[in-house]
Amino acid sequence: MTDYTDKELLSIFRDSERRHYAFNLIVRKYTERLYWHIRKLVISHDDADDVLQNTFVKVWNGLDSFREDAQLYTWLYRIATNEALTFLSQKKRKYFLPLVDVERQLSNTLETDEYFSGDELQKKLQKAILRLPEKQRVVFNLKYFEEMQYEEMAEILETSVGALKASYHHAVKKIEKYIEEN
Amino acid sequence: MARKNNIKLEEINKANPFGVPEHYFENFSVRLSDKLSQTEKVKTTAFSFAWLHSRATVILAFASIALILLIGVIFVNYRNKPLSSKEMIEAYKYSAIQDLSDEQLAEMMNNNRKEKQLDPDSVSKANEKYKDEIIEYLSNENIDINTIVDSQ
Repeated sequence: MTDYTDKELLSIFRDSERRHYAFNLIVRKYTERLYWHIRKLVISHDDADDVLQNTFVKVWNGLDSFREDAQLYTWLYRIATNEALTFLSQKKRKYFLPLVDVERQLSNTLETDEYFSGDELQKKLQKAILRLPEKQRVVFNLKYFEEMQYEEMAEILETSVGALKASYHHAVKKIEKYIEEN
Repeated sequence: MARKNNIKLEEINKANPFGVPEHYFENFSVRLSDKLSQTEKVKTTAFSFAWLHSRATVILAFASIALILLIGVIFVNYRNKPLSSKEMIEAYKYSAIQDLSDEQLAEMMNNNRKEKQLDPDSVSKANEKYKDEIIEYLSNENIDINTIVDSQ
């Protein structure tokens, strides 16, 4: 498969006869990255799959009105993040769960997840991450696992770089404290 | 006292600890296409219902307008229908009476009353007609006419 740049993909998409082809290329290019980003937030594979599909449905519906002054890649991440956070808040509302119980439920999913292949320390790290506030989890995951630049994160989360740096710093401190004590 | 681990974040394996079912990523785009076509179908159905609903609304609106127009036409036709001769006379009388002053109206009523009074000549003619019959009846019954006159 030819590796098109995002600009080239968008240009192909503007051609009405090739829009399905362009969309398919976008899906193939970003499926894995978006999946892992979502999976670390919702933990369960089935939930991640649902959220990823919904993300691409939104992408398909919104790609026509996408303005090229933003990057396609950050736009996709923004949709995926919003979909994942919306999914979690719907789950809370659906089962009338307080935040602590959502964390507990996600931790239990982690314990029983047949597709989790990490060691004990990695599991402990994931549990520590689950104790962070949702937005801080997103910041930590993007920076620590995906090594994303703060500027790109600022575009995705529509926050200042300074606020993101502070958020990441606090997240690291909390995680280290949790691992020390557990 | 809580047990403490002196483990730093950098010491933890950074590799992705999550896994996916076999061929998940290979099959994802096919499943996504199915979902997109289902979503399109739902959208189309929703559009059809909305279209039907709007069409029903338009039909209802047109029917209401037609009904109002029909009632209007019937009403106007009824008002413009030519009067029967009897109705015309009644209407003429009514309008003629309305045009009269109080004095004229009083005079007309007086005339009506006079017209309705019995003519003395016709009364005497009627009396003459029945006079013979009365006398015959009285003689047959042997009744003296003077007796009747005295008893009154």
